[in-house]
Amino acid sequence: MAVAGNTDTQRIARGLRQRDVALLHTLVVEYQFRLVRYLIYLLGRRDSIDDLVQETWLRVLERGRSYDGHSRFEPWLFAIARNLTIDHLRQRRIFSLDSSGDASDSHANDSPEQDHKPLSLASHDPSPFELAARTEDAQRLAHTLETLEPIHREALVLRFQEDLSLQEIATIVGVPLTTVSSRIYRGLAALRAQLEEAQHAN
Amino acid sequence: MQTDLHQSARHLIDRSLTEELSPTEHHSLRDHLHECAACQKYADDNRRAIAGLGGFSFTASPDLQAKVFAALAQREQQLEVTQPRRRRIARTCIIALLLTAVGSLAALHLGDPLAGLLHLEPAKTQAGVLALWVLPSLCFCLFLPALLLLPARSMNKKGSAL
Repeated sequence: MAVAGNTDTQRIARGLRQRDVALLHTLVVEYQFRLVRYLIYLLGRRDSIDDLVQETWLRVLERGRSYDGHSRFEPWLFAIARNLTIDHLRQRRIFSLDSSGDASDSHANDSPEQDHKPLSLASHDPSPFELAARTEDAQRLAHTLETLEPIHREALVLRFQEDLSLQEIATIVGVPLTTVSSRIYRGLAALRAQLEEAQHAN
Repeated sequence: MQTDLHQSARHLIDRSLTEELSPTEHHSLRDHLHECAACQKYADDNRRAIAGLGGFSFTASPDLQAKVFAALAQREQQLEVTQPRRRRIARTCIIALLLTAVGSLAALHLGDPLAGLLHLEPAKTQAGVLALWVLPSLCFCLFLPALLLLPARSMNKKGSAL
């Protein structure tokens, strides 16, 4: 049930309005992996992911009426997950997604020195990126992703994995299009630098 | 001048990742990449980095789906219970409001005929209608929305992030 056409989104909207549990189960199965991936990119860690996924779907059940079916389902779903993640981070006072890196978002201020401290992992366990890397390049990129600003990782996954448009990403994240572009370019620059470095090392 | 050319080519390469280039831009970039190995490498590195993102395979916890289904079923049951209750309270509230309006009208306009019918003093009849009809229904009107607001507030709090 790929959510491609308007008919599909309307069907999802209708099902959510009626709190159709069968439809919700289908959506859970279809979007589970993508939701987990988005949350891992957002958080940079695996703990709390299960709770956030569960909470996201409960919110979808409760607030399904607010999805009108005029736009794709994914941005709406990711926006819910993102808001819950921000609440979760605020409660645990880990870091703020919205404040981190925003000052350095514009191209004019693009200097690596302005980067905020990356989210530090609590232990020396392998990061979720290291654990999930299946190719050589992915293994090379794992550490960079781990140390990258969450907002830049988020922009990368939404653009290049979820294939969302700039406008959709801007809606999810709540920032202007130029900021989204800037985050994508900065994230990509970090990955490119890592690959170049690995290439020179070889 | 040459640096500007490379910079603008790289700017176009970046832009092509987030938006559609115009045909003119597309052609000029293609021509430049054809001649410039450095910018071609820049474009290749970008492509490689993006492809690298596809080399991760994240997996959900094996029992996550079952946990989500169970949580959804439980919440659905809770909603089944709370929502009809809310509808009932809202309906009762409307009825109480109507009764208050009717009672007030009765006290104002039907006080005298009613007093004559029951052989009572008009003032006492009015006071009786106010005390036994208007006041209780008014209290209901004020009390019931409070019942509605309590659970709604906690739900709104949860949903504020949306």
